[in-house]
Amino acid sequence: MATSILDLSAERMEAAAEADDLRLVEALRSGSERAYEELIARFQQPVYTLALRLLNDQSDASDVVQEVFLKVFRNIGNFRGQSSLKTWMYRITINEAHNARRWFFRHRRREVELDSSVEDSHHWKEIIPDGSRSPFDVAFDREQHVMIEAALERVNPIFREAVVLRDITDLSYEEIAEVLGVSLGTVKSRILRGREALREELAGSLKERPALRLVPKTAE
Amino acid sequence: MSCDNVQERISSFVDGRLPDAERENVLAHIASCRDCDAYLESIDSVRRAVGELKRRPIPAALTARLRVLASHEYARQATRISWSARLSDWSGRLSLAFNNAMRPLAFPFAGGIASALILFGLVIPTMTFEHALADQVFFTAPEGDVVALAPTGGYAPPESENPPFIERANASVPDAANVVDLTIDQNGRISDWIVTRGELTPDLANIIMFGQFSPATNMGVPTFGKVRAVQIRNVHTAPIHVRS
Repeated sequence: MATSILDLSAERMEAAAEADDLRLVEALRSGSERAYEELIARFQQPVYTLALRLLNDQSDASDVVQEVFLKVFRNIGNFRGQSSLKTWMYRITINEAHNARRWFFRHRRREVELDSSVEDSHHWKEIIPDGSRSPFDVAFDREQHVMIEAALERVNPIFREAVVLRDITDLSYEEIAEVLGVSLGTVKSRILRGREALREELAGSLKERPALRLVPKTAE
Repeated sequence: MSCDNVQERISSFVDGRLPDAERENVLAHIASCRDCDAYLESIDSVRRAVGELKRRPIPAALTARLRVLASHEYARQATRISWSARLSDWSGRLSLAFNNAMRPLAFPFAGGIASALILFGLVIPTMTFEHALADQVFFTAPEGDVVALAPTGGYAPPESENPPFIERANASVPDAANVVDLTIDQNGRISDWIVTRGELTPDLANIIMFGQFSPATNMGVPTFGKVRAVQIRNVHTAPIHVRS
């Protein structure tokens, strides 16, 4: 009973999202300025996150995001609504990331990064102390992030994109199959291989957080 | 279910993608197999660890660039959609291109037209048509003498020994003369003629053909009149045979 209610509400949400997509696409086609802003507001973060995880480079990811939005604005007339707006945009992102990677390998990046310091800098939220988390937690998280990023980069791009679409972009298996243009079985096996590869890369380093407690003490 | 089979399904298991029957089997196996339990634990921690990477804020510069991009694309789309906007855009572009092309030519063009006007203005008055009348044109002087004009417009004295002259219609003339009575219309042209004595000489014929007179007036209004052209007969003067 409970599951059927959940299914029903999920279905209803899906239908609502679809109607919302169509409304946004129509507004874009009719040239509404607000629709452009809405599209950016809704998709800039997920598209950027996806591009960043596929390329692991902030400036490359930024370029890809711009290309994606340019393509979407220019080709919104060709969008037939056979897939959702979300999967359509992610498919464009995947293609653009492929192109960027191909370009990267061909040109083997010889130039010196001028704004590397900017790349390494963290967002102010990560810099300003957070009262609810101890400095140890913050340092531990950051270290773990760097480790996972490095491991992710070493995984075969084909498996990596499936894992990223599943665990970071939160797409369902069906949506991933649509974005990548492969069968459901292929999606399953790619996610499995990707996680397997990551597990091997991270073997031993992904430990449980040590039970270190800092007990405040008054000076004696 | 073997460990290999279970481990192959672990990834789908953590995503909740296994059918109920298989799920039960996997759960049952894990409960009894420490290796597979550890494997499940590691795959799940990998999944959670990757999920941790979601929180990565978008760079402010990128947000700004996307906004610029959107406004450019919006403007581009706006000109594409509206016909009037597209038309005004094109006409603006065309007039700009035309102005840019013509501006360097404007001064030479105006100068060329002005110089052409001046040149033709100077040349045209000196251009005359060739008159195909006769070698000589006769006019009558107030005294009745016949004046001959050469084709150049200057005065040419009569070539014959006895130049013809004009008399009143009722003047007496010597017998040895060729006489033609002329009827002059109100415009001073000869409208009729008759040889009254002797014969028609070339000089008299010239007067008939080209003579121009001041017409007679009646109460100040030009009217018909008669005069007599006389040429003293000369033995050398060859007669013209006129069919009457």
